[in-house]
This record gives sequence, C-alpha cells and structure tokens, in this order.
Amino acid sequence: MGEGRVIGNVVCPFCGCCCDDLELTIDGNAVVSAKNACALSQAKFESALEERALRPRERANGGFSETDYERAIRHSAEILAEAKYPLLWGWSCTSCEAQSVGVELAEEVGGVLDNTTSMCHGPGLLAVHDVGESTCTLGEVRHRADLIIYWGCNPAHAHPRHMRRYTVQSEGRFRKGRGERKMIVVDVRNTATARMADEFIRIEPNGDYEALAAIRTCLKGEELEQEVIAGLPSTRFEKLADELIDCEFGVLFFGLGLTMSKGKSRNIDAALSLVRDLNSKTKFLAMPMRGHFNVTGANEVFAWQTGYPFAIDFSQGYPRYNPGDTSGVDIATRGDCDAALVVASDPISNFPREAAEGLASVPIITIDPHETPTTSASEVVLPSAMVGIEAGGTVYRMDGVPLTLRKVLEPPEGVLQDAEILSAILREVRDVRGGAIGHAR
Amino acid sequence: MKAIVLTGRSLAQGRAKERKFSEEYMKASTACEVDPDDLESLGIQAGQNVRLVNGRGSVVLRAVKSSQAPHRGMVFVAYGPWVNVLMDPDSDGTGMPTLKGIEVEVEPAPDEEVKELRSLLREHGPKGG
Repeated sequence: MGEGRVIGNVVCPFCGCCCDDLELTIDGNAVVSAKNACALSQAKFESALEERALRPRERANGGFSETDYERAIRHSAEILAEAKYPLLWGWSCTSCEAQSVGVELAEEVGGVLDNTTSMCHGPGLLAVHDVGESTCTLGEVRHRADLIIYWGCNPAHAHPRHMRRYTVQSEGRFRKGRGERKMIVVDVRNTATARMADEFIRIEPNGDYEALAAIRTCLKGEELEQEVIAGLPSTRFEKLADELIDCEFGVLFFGLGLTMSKGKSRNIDAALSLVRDLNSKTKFLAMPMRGHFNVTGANEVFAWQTGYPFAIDFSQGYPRYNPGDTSGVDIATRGDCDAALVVASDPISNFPREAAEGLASVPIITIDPHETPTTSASEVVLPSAMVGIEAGGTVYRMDGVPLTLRKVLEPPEGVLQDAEILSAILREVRDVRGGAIGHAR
Repeated sequence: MKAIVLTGRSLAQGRAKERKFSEEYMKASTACEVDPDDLESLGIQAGQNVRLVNGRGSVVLRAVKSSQAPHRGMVFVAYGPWVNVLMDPDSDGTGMPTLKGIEVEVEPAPDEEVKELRSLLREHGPKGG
C-alpha cells in the first residue's frame, strides 16, 4: 500500500457536499485508501470494481444475451425513436456534460426528461419558484455562520463531513469552531445529528408546517393560540423564535424530512418564508441538503437549456414543466410512458412499488456502471464508466459551486463513458428517424 | 401495533447502495428500527422479524432496537425496494411520492423470512428478476 500512487485534491462523487480534498492511494487499478473520505465515500471508492456491469446486453428469449456497444446503441435508438412518450430518468450521478447530451436526446425523441430531484428536493424547487431563496455558498457558512439549524435531515449519516467542513465543526475566518457556533436540530427522532446539537427540538411526524408557521407567527409578535403545536408546548416556539433573531448569521439547512412528508412543497414554502421573515431582523439563509453528488448540476444544466430544472416534457415539441404530471414517478404510476432511458440511477429500487411496476412494464434502456434491480428489468443494458472515479467531468456542489471531477482509475476494458454512449444513441436516433428534425414525426 | 414508517438514508445503506445484491445492502435495507418499548409491546426481541402491512402491500423485515428512541409508534427503515412496497406513489401534484409518515400495522412475524432481493423483484413482473 505504501508504494501506491497518491492523487490529491480529488472531488468526492457521493453526496452533494462534493468534498474536494480527498487524497487517494492507487495500487494497480484500485483505490486502496481514501484519506479525508467519509465512510460513504470510502465505500464507494474502495468497492468501485464490485457488482459491475461489464458487457452490453439485450433481452432475448426470456433472458439476456451479450452484445456489443454498436448493436446495443442501435437497439436503444430504435426503442426511443419508436416510442411515443419515453421517460428519460436519472441524471444526478453523472456529469454535466452527459446531462447536456440528455437534454438534446429528450428533445429529439419528444420525451420527458426528469432527474432524481423530483424524488428529493423537487418540492423545494417548487417552493423556490413561489417564495424565492436567500442563500449563499458553503464557504460563507464556514467563515461567518454562528447559528446552524438542521431541520429534517441527518447529515451524520447522509452527509458525514458537512458539519466538519462547512458548518459547526469547521474553522472559518470569523468563526473559529464549535465553541463559536450554536447548533439546533429539529427532527422527529433523536438522530446521531440531533445528539451533537446544542438543542434538539423533537416535533411529531408531519408537524413541520405547523412548527414553521408557529415560529413565523412569533416573529411577527403575534400570540400563539394553541397550547400544543406539533407535539410541543407553544412556548417552545416562542423561545426558538427569540434564538433565531439573536444570531448574527444563521443558516437553515433542510432535508427530506420536509420534502417527503405531509405538506411537501408547502413545508419548504414555510421554511423559505421563515428565512425571508428573519432577514427583516438579522442575517439568515437557507440551503437544501442535496443528496446525489450532481443533482444540483442536473438542475443547472436542464434549467440553462430548457428553462426548467426537472420534469420537462418535450412531447409537444417545446419544453413544458408541470411536476405532478410531467414527473417520473407520476408518469410511471399512471403507465403513461411506453419506453424509458435510465441513466446512472436505480428507479426499480427507489420508486414506490406501484411506480416501479409501471416502469418495469415498458422497455427500459439502462446506462449504469453497476448491476442493479433496474438493469435486471431492462431491455438493453449499456455499462458505463463510474463518473468521478473512471471518468472526469463537471459537477455542481449543493451550494451551486461547480467543481471538476477527476479520473483516477481506468474503467473496465472497453467500457465507455455516459456522455459517449448518449451521444452515440443521439446520432443513431437521428439516423433511425431518417433525418427528421426535432421530435416531429 | 399501529405505527408510522419513516424512510431515509442510513450510513450502512449508503455504504452498500452501489452493491445492491450484496448481503450488506440487504442487511441495511431490511432493518426496521423499532422503539425498545414497542418491541416489548409486540412481544418480540431485536433480531426477530416483523411484518409491516398497509393498504398497498406487506413486507417482512428484521426488527432492530432503535438507538434513536424514544419514538413510540414510529419505525425507521432505510430507503430500498423492501420498504417501497408500502410507499404511496401519489405525489400530491409535486412529483414527490410520500416516503415518510406512512401509516402501517406492525405485526410480529418471527417465523416468516425476509425476502431476498431477487425474489422481491420477481414480484415486479416477468422482467423483475
């Protein structure tokens, strides 16, 4: 191990923290140690070669038969070109360069382009459309924040270095460490993150909107009429409102505890409105705890190119955006799509079962480095290099800062990158369609 | 026992999520974290199986004593195809299915087995396995 090649300043391709200080030791074509990496990141780097899809394959006679990229790409193009309403899903664990080709492909086939945002912070983006967002970079948080709130998230498990690199445990220019920062956690369970907090406020499940509204009421100087709110005495929210006003630079980090529970986008609407209200009294900002390492990039790229961050429907020949109608889970549950292209995602595992069954009933083309339940249910499987390990590219950190991923290992022999595969499918689709322009048929 | 199911990322599930057919992933995604007092009410011990049932389906999981108690009437299961049997795909017009706060009935199932992933997937249709 000691004689391995060391590569520094590697950006982690796991969560939205995109930590860019990893130091990898490479022996042969394997990562043998990952200094500065969290437990999630270490597992990803050190098990990069396990459960890999290595050869393109197609469904045949009730099973699969191996083929080559040329044939698998042609078959994929034929499926997409013939489909009336294909769903192009995933995109959050690949590079911005691949995402950009995906937009072109979705427009070409008149499909629906949706990224995993619609199953994570999509409701948050809907709230941003309505309320706006006071935010900043994680660097500003590190240097200036004296109050950190984690609401409905458990970074100790999902973003293990968030606190160390960017918030309460980080050493900033104006805030030197844990002693100069206060940490409040609002959640329904006493999580590992909650146990690290100065204050843990345990609310009842699905009580987030009520709790946020109560704090806003207190900020406005109005009295709370109920004695118990979200399972807590209303006086607790009066105290919390005072604590929020008393900070000099506060940041509310919110997680899927808000977006996935009752209220969904309205919970985030309330959270962003609270932050907006707080700015009349002090400095306060908000940021979602983005999960996949380039889900923010998917929102950025899709929004630049189509005007919308996710759930984009090209079936009318122009981009339409109506989450709840044009979003992946809704389309799969209704059985509206007649084919699917899945890129770097595993919806058969991650969708609610009814939606997964809907998806499994149509021909799926999957581009993924790994064997997954979705590759098992696919018509065509196109193995790809692992972005951030075997392929470089651009990603956006959760605060919207772009970073460059590095290629540190060689992909398995003959395995192509996502962007190459997608570009080839796009060319073939155009060929199949005989030069027809756009989605017109 | 009536309970609310929360799903989410756990460190163990996150470490194994790119090795879906591994024992590590199955162990992480089939652990149902139950409040210790609820375990006692159910008359089972940690490590025994429970069945979670609602109008959408039912699934057998391994009960684990929660380290995040007290949270009586609430169980936690990491994201994955097992717990997704119970989840509501209705997105309420947002695109987001309801993956937290789902109501279920929790029953002791010490003699039932947790399904292996491929067996679970076969229920998704003829291509699932």
